Amino acid sequence: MSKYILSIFIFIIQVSYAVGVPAGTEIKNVAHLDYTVDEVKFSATSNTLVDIVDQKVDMKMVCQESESVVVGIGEKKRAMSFILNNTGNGKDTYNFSPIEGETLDFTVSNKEIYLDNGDGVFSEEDSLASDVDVQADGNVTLFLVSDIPDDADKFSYNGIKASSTIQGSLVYGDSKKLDNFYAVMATREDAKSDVCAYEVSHLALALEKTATLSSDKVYSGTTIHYKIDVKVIGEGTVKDIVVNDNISKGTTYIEDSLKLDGVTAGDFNGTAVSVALASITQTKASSDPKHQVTFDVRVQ
Amino acid sequence: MKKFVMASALLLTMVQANVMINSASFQEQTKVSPSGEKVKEWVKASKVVPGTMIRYVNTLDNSGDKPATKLVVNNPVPENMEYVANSASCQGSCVISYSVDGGKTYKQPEELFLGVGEDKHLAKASEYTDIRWVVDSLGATSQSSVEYKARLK
Repeated sequence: MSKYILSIFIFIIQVSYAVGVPAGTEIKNVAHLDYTVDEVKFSATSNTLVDIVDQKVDMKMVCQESESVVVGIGEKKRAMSFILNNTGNGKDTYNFSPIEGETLDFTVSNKEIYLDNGDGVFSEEDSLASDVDVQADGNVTLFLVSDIPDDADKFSYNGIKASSTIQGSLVYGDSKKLDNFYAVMATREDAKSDVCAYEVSHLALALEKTATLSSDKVYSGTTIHYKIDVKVIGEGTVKDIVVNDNISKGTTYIEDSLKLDGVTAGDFNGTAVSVALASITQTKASSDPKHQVTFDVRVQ
Repeated sequence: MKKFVMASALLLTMVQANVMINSASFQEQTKVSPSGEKVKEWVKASKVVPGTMIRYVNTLDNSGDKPATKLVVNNPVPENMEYVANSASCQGSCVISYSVDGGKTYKQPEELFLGVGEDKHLAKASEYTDIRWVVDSLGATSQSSVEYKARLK
């Protein structure tokens, strides 16, 4: 393990679905007839046929980690990110529960599910996810946060399962009456959940990215201050480290804000910041950060 | 002039408008027969969600004692619906044509174009705005129907 080029991708895949005509919309059909009887012309108009669009209840949970989340033994509050897409044509309210995948070389503890505050990075500013409203064609970013046991080894697949308030205990194909239309259950069971993998590394780099907003929420003009803690997991030497981080869509990098341990460093190539670090040697296991990369972006 | 008005009034009292048109909508539903087979059938549209195909049936009912002729049915494709290709039909014989300009003109599919210049293209069925059926005649005290299918966007 002589060379590390690490990249952090936030907002990796914003899956978007065209969900169709909103529930409650009236669909009207009217036909017009012209005809002749004994050379006299007449006309008639049909009844106005009205069908009301019902609500298709559908969703898709997707793991947003492109690779395993590398963790060290004993680490606390390690996050893996997911996106829940409301692929139905009406608003729904969701609750969430942690699930385990089939591969469990170790079991994580203290599992909690957080709702992202809009910056795409897990932080203390995120709130526990409960009764989360999602509009039609909307999505939310969620984090499954867990503690890694001291005897962890290899892989542990964990994930999030969503439940729709509208669906309740109904199953695929069922329907129920709402205010003035029906809700039709169209979510396949396997679409409600997804899993990501924790992978234990006995010598690895860990990057912990946190974000601080200049305002209480994300608005146009808000400055986001990112901090990336660079840690070594395990004991040994990691050489030729380069930290790359793509700038999130919808944000602009603030010139000269990129710093390594508080000193201006690195480059911005128009889409990503990049900082080269010296080798890091750790002789005794520690979770203390060895370096800090910081930079600022402004929301457009 | 007075005589003409009187004659027209007399004619209208003798020839009455007796053809009604009624529109109904259906959707396909799969049911399991007593023998366990899956059978598809059209039922009254009641659960309409994006992607649902609706079959619209316009029933023509001539309750009069004289045949009606030169029957022309114009049906705009409802807003938020897309016409399903080759789905328009009628009982008996008729001529079906389509519009892509909101019913101003009707032509056969191969004559329908949209766009100008390099964007000009043969209109897709989903771009049709109106459907027209021309039926030669409908006998006294007879019924007939025209229909089409459209899919909810």
